[in-house]
Amino acid sequence: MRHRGGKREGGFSLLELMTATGIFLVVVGAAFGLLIASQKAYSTQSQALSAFQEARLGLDQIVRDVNIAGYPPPGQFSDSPSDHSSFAETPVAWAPGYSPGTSFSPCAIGSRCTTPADYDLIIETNVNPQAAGSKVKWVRYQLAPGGTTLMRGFVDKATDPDDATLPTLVPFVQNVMNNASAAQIAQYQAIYPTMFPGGAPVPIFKYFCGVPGKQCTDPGGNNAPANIRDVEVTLIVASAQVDANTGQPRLVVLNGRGHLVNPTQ
Amino acid sequence: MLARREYVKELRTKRRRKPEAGIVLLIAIFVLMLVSIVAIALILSAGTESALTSNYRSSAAVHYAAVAGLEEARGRLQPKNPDYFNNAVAGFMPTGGTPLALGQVRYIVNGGAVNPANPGDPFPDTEYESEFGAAPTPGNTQTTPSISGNNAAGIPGPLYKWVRINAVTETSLNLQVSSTNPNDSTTPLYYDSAHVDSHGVQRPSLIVSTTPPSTAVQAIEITSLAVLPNGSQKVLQNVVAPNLSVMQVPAALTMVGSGVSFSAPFSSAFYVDGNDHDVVGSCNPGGTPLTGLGYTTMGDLSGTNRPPMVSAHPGNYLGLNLPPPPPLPQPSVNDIATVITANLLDVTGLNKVVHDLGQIADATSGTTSVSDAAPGPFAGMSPSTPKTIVVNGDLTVSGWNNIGYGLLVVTGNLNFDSAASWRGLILVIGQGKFTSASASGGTGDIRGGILLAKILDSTGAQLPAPAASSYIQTGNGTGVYYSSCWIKAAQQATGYKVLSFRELPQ
Repeated sequence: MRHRGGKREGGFSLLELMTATGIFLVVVGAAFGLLIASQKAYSTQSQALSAFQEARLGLDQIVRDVNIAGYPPPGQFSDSPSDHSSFAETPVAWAPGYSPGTSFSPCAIGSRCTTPADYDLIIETNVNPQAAGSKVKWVRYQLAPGGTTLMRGFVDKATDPDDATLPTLVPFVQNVMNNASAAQIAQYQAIYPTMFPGGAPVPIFKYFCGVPGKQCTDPGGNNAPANIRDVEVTLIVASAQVDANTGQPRLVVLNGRGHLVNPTQ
Repeated sequence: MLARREYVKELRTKRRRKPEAGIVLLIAIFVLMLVSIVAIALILSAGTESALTSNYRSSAAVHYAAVAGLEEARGRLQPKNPDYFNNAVAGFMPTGGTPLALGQVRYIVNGGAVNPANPGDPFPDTEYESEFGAAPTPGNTQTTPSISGNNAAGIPGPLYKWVRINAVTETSLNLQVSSTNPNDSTTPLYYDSAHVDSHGVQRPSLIVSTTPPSTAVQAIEITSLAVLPNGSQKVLQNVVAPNLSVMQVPAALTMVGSGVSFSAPFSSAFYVDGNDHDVVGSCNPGGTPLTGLGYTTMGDLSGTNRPPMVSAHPGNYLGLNLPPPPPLPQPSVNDIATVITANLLDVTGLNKVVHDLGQIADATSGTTSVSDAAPGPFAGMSPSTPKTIVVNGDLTVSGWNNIGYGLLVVTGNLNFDSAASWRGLILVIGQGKFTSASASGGTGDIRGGILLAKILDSTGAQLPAPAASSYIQTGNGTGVYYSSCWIKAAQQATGYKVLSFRELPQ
């Protein structure tokens, strides 16, 4: 097309424009498709990571508490102090049968102990020994039956570790699936076949009482709470939401091991 | 003319192409932008995962790095360790039972530039001031480098920065060890494995005492700071004490077995004394006196079997009387079968003592002789460097007019020059025969204890039960004097045990 004066009109034909627009839309569509999928994956991943990070910090705290359990031990005092909250009589408190100053009858881990147990542990230690006037505390971790929130609480050592610590428990790690229902475990096993051996719940705490190769609960395992020397911690944690792409729950297993260094004497 | 036309045509062509090039550029920018957004999202996701892994790794790593520091210090406190502190820096740790004084600070530094005693250091030891109220003074501070640097493969060692070793008090530990208020800040703490509390109950524990008993050893604090390159840091602290399973004897001279014989000079200068003698380092004697001359089979050395030199000088056989028979003085020559530890009464137990000491001996030999000219296994002994010497055979000490320090075990006959002296324990377990003579008479003495047990026959075969051990001294000599402190000093620590462990909040 020519205007007056013979000057040619610049620009594109309809065909050119539609071709360019078409290519643009195809490229943009593909890019956005990828972006949306990526965004979903990122969102799922970051939720999962955030849950697992929280669990990881929780695990580190548990292991740290186990490592420093039993401070200060009785052997630090030339006379047994009358104030029982000034020293640790045992690194791991138990119930029933342990009441500082009154009764001291050991229970058997795995049978008569309500704590220490698979989902329940009470550490006895001074968590901040250099602070003026600091006392020995009971630090408790408990996953209530049927619950999925690992609770933590602490209180100055008093008369009954079970009664004293229960009211102090607050949520510590969410979505802990170690003791999930049978139906949930079956669902998880389909996705993670090795996570729940035998389809059974997985104890958070396993105890070792200084007998090589044996847990405290094994025959000959020396199963009194005061004999515990190592605690193996396993946390199975689920992310808050299912995987946005697959619709399946996402779980991770975290393992740690605390070693009790303080002597019991 | 033609050239001009061509030029105009070319110009028009360029004018037509210009808008098209702009669109392509725009499309390219859009595509690049989208691809960049996707890439950034992926990078962010990967970054979060890296952070998670890194957090976990550093938390565990910093703990174990600090533990590595504690363990290096605990190991290097042992004199038998080739990396013993004093092998690297002379006088780094006190010896001979002398305690590490309060205010004296020892550091292991991991990295040449680290100077924890300097407040301006990147890794200063601020913890010391919080425990003792003042920073360590340079004059009281000694430093030695870590032995756990890069290994042969160039892999770096544990990332602790420094380890501190020092004496402790109630105040520094923030613990009321004794029941006395307020906390003591001037008396170093000791660990007494034989401590009896105010209720009469034996409970090994820390004690606060300016005159600790011979069963006590000094408590040492070890503090370790670990810092990772990412800034994670941790301070762990142990209180440790030498692991001394001090072998105790029930008498100054103990003769195990049946039908034992004792013969000593009829001399007013010769004593067998069960009273506790001699201060050694920070060790103070003063426990219950032991029997002077003890035997383990009823009737041996008593009644008609009482050695004539004992009857001649009853006042020279001092110590505990069992039971106290009037009139005094009576010689302290007693049947100690009921007070001796059971393992020293049977062949198996006695054999085990010899075997165990053989495992930790500084010097072992077969039948040998010792003299000034050829001291052999006796070379290099001093109060601060006692030796455990095991002779599997006869030992003849002749013309060696010196003082030996440590623990001497002889499985054959021991011929000991009466001009020679010993500080520590002499165990003749095997042939069980101690003979002492000297051409020059001699004024040597044994301060610590002697135990004789015959558990081998003349061919070296093991007997079913301890038989007749013998002590025959024909030279002069001045005798055997029980000393719990020399016995303690003779027996070196087999390690340092952890009395407590704690983590200090940062």
